[in-house]
Amino acid sequence: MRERNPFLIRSAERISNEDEFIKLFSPKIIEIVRENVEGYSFWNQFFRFQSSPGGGKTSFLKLFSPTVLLRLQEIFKIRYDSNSDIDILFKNLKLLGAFKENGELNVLTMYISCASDYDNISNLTISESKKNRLFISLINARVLIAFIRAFLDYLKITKPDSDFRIELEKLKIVPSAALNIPSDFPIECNGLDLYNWSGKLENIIYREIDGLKNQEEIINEHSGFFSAQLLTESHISYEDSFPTKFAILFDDVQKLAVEQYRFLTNEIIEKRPSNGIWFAERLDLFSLDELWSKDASTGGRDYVKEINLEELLRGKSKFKDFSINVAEKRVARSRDVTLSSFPSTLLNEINIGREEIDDLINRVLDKIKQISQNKSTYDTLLNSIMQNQQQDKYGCLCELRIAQIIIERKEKKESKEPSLFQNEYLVNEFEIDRKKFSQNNANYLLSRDYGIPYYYGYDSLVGLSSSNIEQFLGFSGRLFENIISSKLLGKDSRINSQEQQKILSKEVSTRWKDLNSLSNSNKVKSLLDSVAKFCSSQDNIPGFPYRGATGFALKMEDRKRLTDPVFWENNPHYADIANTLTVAIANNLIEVSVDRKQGKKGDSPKTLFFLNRWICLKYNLSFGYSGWRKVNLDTLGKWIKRGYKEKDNDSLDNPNNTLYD
Amino acid sequence: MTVLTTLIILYMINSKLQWDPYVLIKSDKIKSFWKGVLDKNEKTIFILAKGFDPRMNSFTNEIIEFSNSDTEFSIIDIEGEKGKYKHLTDDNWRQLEDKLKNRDIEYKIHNVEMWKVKQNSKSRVGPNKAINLVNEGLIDGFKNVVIDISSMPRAIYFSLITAILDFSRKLNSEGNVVNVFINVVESPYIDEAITSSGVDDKAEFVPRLGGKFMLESNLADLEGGDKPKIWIPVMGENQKYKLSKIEEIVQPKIICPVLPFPSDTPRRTDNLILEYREILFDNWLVEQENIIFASESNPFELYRQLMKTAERYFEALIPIGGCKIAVSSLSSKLLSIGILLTTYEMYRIRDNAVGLIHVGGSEYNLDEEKLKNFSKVNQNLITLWIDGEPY
Repeated sequence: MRERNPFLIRSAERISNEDEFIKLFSPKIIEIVRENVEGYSFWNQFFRFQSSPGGGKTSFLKLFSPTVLLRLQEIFKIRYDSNSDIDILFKNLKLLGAFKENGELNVLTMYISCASDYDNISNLTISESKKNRLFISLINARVLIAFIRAFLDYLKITKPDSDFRIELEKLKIVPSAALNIPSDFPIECNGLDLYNWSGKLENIIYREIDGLKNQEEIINEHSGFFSAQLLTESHISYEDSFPTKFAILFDDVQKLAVEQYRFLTNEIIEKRPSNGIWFAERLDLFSLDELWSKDASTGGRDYVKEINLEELLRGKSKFKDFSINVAEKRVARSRDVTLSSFPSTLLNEINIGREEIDDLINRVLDKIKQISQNKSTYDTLLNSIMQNQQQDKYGCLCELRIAQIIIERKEKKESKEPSLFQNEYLVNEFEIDRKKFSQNNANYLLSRDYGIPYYYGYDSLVGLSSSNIEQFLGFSGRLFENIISSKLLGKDSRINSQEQQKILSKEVSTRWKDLNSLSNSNKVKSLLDSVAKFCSSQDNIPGFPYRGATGFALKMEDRKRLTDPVFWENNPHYADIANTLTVAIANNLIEVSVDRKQGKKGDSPKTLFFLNRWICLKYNLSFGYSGWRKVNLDTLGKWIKRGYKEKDNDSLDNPNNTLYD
Repeated sequence: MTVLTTLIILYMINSKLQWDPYVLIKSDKIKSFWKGVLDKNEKTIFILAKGFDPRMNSFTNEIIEFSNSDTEFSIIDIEGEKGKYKHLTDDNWRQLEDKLKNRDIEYKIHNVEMWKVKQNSKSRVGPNKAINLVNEGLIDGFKNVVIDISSMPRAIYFSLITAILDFSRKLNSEGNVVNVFINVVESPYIDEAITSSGVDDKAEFVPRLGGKFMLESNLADLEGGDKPKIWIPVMGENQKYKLSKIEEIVQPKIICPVLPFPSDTPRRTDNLILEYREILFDNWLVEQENIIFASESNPFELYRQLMKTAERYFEALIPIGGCKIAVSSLSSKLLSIGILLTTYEMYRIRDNAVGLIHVGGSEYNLDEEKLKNFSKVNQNLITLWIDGEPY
C-alpha cells in the first residue's frame, strides 16, 4: 500500500502486517543497541529502555514479537538477492541470541502493555495491600496468557495445519516444588489448562474492577510476581522443540500508578527471575532515580541495565545514518513521488547573492573595527582572510565571523590584563585559535546577527530531530509536503535554504501553540521561554564563551531534592519545579543527560537538561550540546513563576538566594 | 405463522434497543413537562455539580417554582476551596442556595475530590467517588432521580449515571419504578467561551464502562488471538490532543469517526474534516468509507446509529472471533449521553465488548466577558428520560 505522505504515518508501530513492519524497521537501531549491551544478555537480565515519546521503544519491542521474528526468519531463508537491511537485522538479532546459530528461533517474548487498566485498581476503595495483590494477580494472569499466545503464534508458523487445542494439551507445565505458586494453580497442567486458568482469573479481576457481579465471589489473590519464575523454574515440555528462552516485555511502564511501578520493580529485583524482563518507559524526572528502593543493594546494579535510546543515537552520525535509512523506506512508500535521495532534495547551499555577502563582509569588518577600537593589530589577519583565494565569498564571511569571536576574546582579556606592547595578531596564531570553532559556529552566529538562513540542509534536519525518530518524521513530513506540491506543479522538487527554514519555522510555531494542551502549560512555557532567553543571552556575550548554549545543569543533590517528597514537605514550592520539569521531560520538550562529568576538572557529576532542538529553532539557538550553564533550583523556580530576567544571570548558581523576588 | 415470519419476529425482539423509542423533551415543553412530574408530589432528587459554568442554575431557575416538600437537591462539590474561577462558582452557588433556602428545599453538599496526587503523578479518583455516593445511598428512596450535567465534568457524570442506571434498572426489574432523567443545557455560545487545556496524561476507560476492552484472554476463541480493535470517536472541534491520547491507548485497527450531520452550521462537517484531515488520513490512514454521520442535536439518534454500527461489526467479524469497540465523546455534552447509553446497553446489559474511553482536561480557560453577557436566549434546555415508566 502506498500513501500520499508516508512520513506522516503514525501507525507504523502498530502495523499488524509483519512484512510491512519489517520493511519500515531500520536495522541501524538494533546494531547500535547490540553494541551497547555487550556483556549483557537480553534473556536473563532486567533492561530499562527509556526514551521520550516517539523515541521508538514500542517498535523496538515489537521487533522481538514471535510473529515478526518468525517472519524475518522466513524472509531471510527464502530471499534470492542479498538485502542488506534484512541481512543486518538478522545478523544482529542472531548476535543478540534471538536466533540460534542454525537460524532457528531461540526466544519467545511476552508483550504486556501497561497502558491498560491497572491504574483503575489503584482507584478502587479497597485497602492498599489488596490493591497490590489484585494488581500482581492481573499481571501474572496476563504474563501467562501472553506466554500461551506466543506459543500459539509459534505454532501457527511452524505447524499451521495443526489443531491448536490439541497442541496446547501437549504442552506440559510442571512447576518445581520450591516455587511459591497460588493455591488454586492447576498442578501439572497443560497449555490449555494454563490459558483457561489465567483467562478466568483475568475475567474475574476485570469484573471486580468494573463493579460487575462475579459468579465466583472470591479471587485467589496472588502475593507476588510468580509467573516469571514459573516460566523458568518449571519443567515445560512439548513433543517437538520450541524456544525455551523467554523475555517479558512491559511497555509504557510509566502508565502504572506509582505504587504499582514500585511494587513490580521491587518484586523483579528481589526475585531476579532468570528470564529477560524489559521495561519500555518514557523518560521523566522521576525515572532518573534509582530503580530500587527498600532493598537497594549493590547486587542489583549488575542485574539492571538502562538504555536510553535517544542517548544512544545522540552523536550526529549515528542518528544521521539511522534517519537516512528510515527516510529511504518512507519515500519508497510514496504514492506520487519518486526520489533517488531525500537528503539531496534539501539543498545545502546558502541561498544569498554575492552583493549581499559583500555587504555582510563589510558589516563584520566594521564590527571588528569597533571591537578593536580601530587598532591595526588585526589588519594583517583580516587582509589575509579577505585575500584567501582558496575559499569563496561565503567562506570568507564565515572566517571573518570566527575572527570576530577571537578578537572579542582577545580584547576582553586585554581590557582585564592590559599588556605593555601591542603585538600584531599573526595569521598562524589565528590558525591555532581558530581550531576551537567550527563552520557551524560561524553559520549560527551569522544567522543570529544578520538573519541569514541557518536551519537548512539534511544535517540541520537531523540536528532538529533531537535523536527522536518521530520528531524526525514530523519535520520531514512537512518538507515532503513541499516536495509533493512541487511535483504536482511540475517544478523542481529541491528546496532551497530559505524555503526550508520557512517550512521548519512554521511547523515549530504550530508545535509551540499545541503546548497549550499540556497540563500546567503556562508554567511549562514559562520555563522553556526562560531557558531559551537565558541561553540566548549567553550567546550574546562577546567572545561566544559557551559556543551555543542550549541547556542548563543541575547538581546531583538538587536533582535528587526535586524527586524527594520528604524534601517537598518543608519546601512546597519545589514541588512546582518538579511537576513542571516532569511535564517538560515527559513531553520531549527538555532532553536529559544524566551523570555527565562535563565542566571544570574535578567537578561533581551533573544532570544536564537541554532544550529540544525544535525549541532551539524557535529562539534562533544552535543545535549543539556542548553549551550549558549550571543553575540552582531557586533560579528555576523564578523562571517558572515569573519568567527570565537579565539580573538572574548574576545569581544563577548562588547558594544564598531567595526563591521569589 | 411461517418460519420466516417467526424468525423476523424473533430478530425484532432480539434486536430491540433499550432506548427505542425514547423520550426527549426540548425547550418549549420543558416547563410543562416538569410541572407535570413535580405536581405528582413524588420524592424527587436533583443532582448537580457546583461549577463556574453559568448554565449550572439554568434548569433550576426554570423549574424550581414547581418544587415542593418532596424535592431535594444533592450538590456535588468538586473544586472545594481551590479553583481558578472560584469566584464564579461561588456566585453560582450563592444564587442557587438563596433559591433553595427561599423555597425551603432540603439540600446536601457532597465533597468529591477529583484527583489523588502522588509524587509526580495524579490519578482521577472522582469517578469512583461518584459511584460510591450512589452505593452509599445517594438516591435511596427517591422515585425520580434527576441528574443535571450542565456544570458537571464528564468524568463524573459518566460514572454517576452508570451507577444510577445500575441501581434504577435493578429496582425497575423488581417492580419498584424509579424514573431517571438527565437535564442538559446546550449553548454553543458558552461552549465557545470555555476551553479546556491541561489534557490528562493518559486516557482511561470510564469506571464501570470498560467494556472488557483491555482483556487479553479470548476464552471463546483461542485460535483467534487478539480481537481487532475498533474505535468510534464522536468528533468535535479542537480535540486533536485528546484524540491522540485516546488513540495511544486504544491502538485501533479500524477507526470510524462520527461527524455531526445534519448540523445547525451547514459547513460544520467540512470544517471538522479540514481540521482533522492530517491526523485522520495521513497519520492514521483512516478510510473515508469508515466515516459515520449522525445527528448533532439528538443523542438518541446518535445512540441508534452507534448501536447499529456496533452490531454490524460484531456480526461481520464473528468468523474471526469478534471484535472490541471503544467509543469516545469529543463533542457536546448532549451527544455524550448518546455515547454513554450505547456503551451502557452494549456492555452492562448485553455484555458485549464495548467500552467508553475518556480523557479529560484539568484546566479551563474562560472568556469571562462573554460569560457576563450570557442570557437565556443563548441556551437550549433538554431533558432525556432514560429509565422508569416509559421503559
